[in-house]
Amino acid sequence: MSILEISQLSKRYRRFRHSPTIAVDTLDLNIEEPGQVIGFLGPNGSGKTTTIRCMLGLIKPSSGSVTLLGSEMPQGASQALKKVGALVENPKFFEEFTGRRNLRLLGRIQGIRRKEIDEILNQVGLADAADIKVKKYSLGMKQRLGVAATLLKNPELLVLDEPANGLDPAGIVEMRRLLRDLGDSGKTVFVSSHQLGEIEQVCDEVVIIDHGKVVTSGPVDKIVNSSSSSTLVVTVENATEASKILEEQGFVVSSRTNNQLEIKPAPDDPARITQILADANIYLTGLRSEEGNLEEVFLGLTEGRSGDIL
Amino acid sequence: MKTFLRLLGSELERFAARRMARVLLIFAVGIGVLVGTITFLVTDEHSAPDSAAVQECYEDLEQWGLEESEKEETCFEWADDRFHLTWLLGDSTEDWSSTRPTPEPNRTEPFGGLEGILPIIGGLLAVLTGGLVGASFFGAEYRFGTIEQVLLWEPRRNRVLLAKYLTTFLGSALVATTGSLAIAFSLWPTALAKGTTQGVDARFWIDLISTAGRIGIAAGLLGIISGTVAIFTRHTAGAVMSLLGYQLIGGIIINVWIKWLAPWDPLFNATAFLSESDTTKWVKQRGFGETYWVEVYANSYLTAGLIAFAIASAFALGGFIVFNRRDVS
Repeated sequence: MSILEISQLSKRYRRFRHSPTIAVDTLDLNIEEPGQVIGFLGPNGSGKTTTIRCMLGLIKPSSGSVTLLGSEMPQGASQALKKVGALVENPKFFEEFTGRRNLRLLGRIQGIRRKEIDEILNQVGLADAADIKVKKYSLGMKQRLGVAATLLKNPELLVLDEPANGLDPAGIVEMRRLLRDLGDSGKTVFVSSHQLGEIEQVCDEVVIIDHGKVVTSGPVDKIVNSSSSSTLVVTVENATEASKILEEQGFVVSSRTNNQLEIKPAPDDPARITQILADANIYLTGLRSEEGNLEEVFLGLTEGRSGDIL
Repeated sequence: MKTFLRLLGSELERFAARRMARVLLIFAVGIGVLVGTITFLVTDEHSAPDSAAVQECYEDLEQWGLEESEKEETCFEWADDRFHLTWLLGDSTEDWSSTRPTPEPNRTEPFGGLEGILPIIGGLLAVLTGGLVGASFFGAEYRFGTIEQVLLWEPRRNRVLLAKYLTTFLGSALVATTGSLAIAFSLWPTALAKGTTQGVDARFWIDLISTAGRIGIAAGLLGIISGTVAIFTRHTAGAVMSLLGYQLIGGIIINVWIKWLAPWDPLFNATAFLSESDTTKWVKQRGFGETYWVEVYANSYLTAGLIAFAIASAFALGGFIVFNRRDVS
């Protein structure tokens, strides 16, 4: 049984006196193996949250299909969501209730016992604040409570939309550890985030979407190590002359500082750069390779677009 | 079934947490205390009817040819200045079946209307409670986004909505009934100290409790209507304003321009039901070369209750349709 199958998913929003807004456009996505942490990335307005809502049966797709844990959505939501814990955008709780009571209200629907709730609160670091009203919680505490709510069902799949939102650096590290632990324990974690550094560290695979379509997907290291994202940094005394010579040879060169040049994408054989410059009597004082990172890949694929907010 | 009961338990607990529900309950009890206190303060102490005054009244009524029982009722009422606890219910302690006419569609005398302290204040309480509780309970779920949380735990929307409607009905009914009983019991000190409990018998108690119950049911039905409007508008204020607008403007429009619709007005029927009054309708009659509107008997209070229930059910059906079809975002 596959974890998630999305096929040709589209969602259009009709607008009065305007052409419809296409939030998701024939999106395809498959997660076959359990126990992975999958990052779901995209600029604002790219359709991430809409896709997540379609997955969870909160909104009906205009076309296409979603199969979640073997159940077609939204008809099979009652079966599928028993094994899914989800946090969509900001966590929503009753502010006048304590954290513990909010979780108890939810847990009551599926007969989850108080002892299990206490364990979860401990796991997310809210044991001491459990009996304080949610209106007095910081944003980070509310976020932890949201994550706690997703863990209550002991789910097979966790869908988390921006779980680190509002967390301080220590909280982000803790969240990262938690996500990794959950993946290692056999749960599948589908996490949407803007914190690309965290995604890069914790995820096994990433899916990048833009304008409602999947732009790229695959293992994180494969995407990051693609040649278009790595850079060769060259330090020379006469940077202007060196830049001109390298450009004549077909390299893409840009100036980083007065005597540093950046060659991107990096050539497969850096020694060739040394040879070309040496032939022109220009000698390097420094040569180093910089691996690409997910942020660069992401910005390159999405053109650095901040996106329209629906 | 077990899952549904757990869901219902969760909804009832959510309802109890709503500030609006607690405020209204306190308000309802407070109204009772206020009514009781004011009544006590403004009521003068009077003695039982003076036999001489009653005799004088009898003699005055001789010329009108009234029955003995009619003279007795009129003169005792006229001569008795005491505060009567039975005023709580007006004439509802009487046996209506003997006074209610046979169905004659063109009777020209109007029937029913609110009588008694409890139906009047209780009616206002039912409208206020039902309207605010329903609008607030549903509107807040959309405003705070908590409806999304519920659907992630119980995605079967019909069950969720049924649990919410039941909770709204029970919650509105509880607040309105509690307030009504608070009003009723708050008048006891006045009756004991400065008035009379004459006429308070088993039948009075049955009528009092059944009136309070009917006020609760009316509040519950209005709560369902109000909650459904909140589903349509996704906003508490939107629902409250719609209902207020209907109450202020709709009633005028119906009674002036769309008279045939009057017997189907949910507020009108709910009010008639709780006060055990007949409802009326407007019919055109010709006379003296003109056509004019006359108010006549329409339905009994039980039929009015059924009509109010049917209208609330129709609203609920609309709520189910919209809730199932609409995206939650």
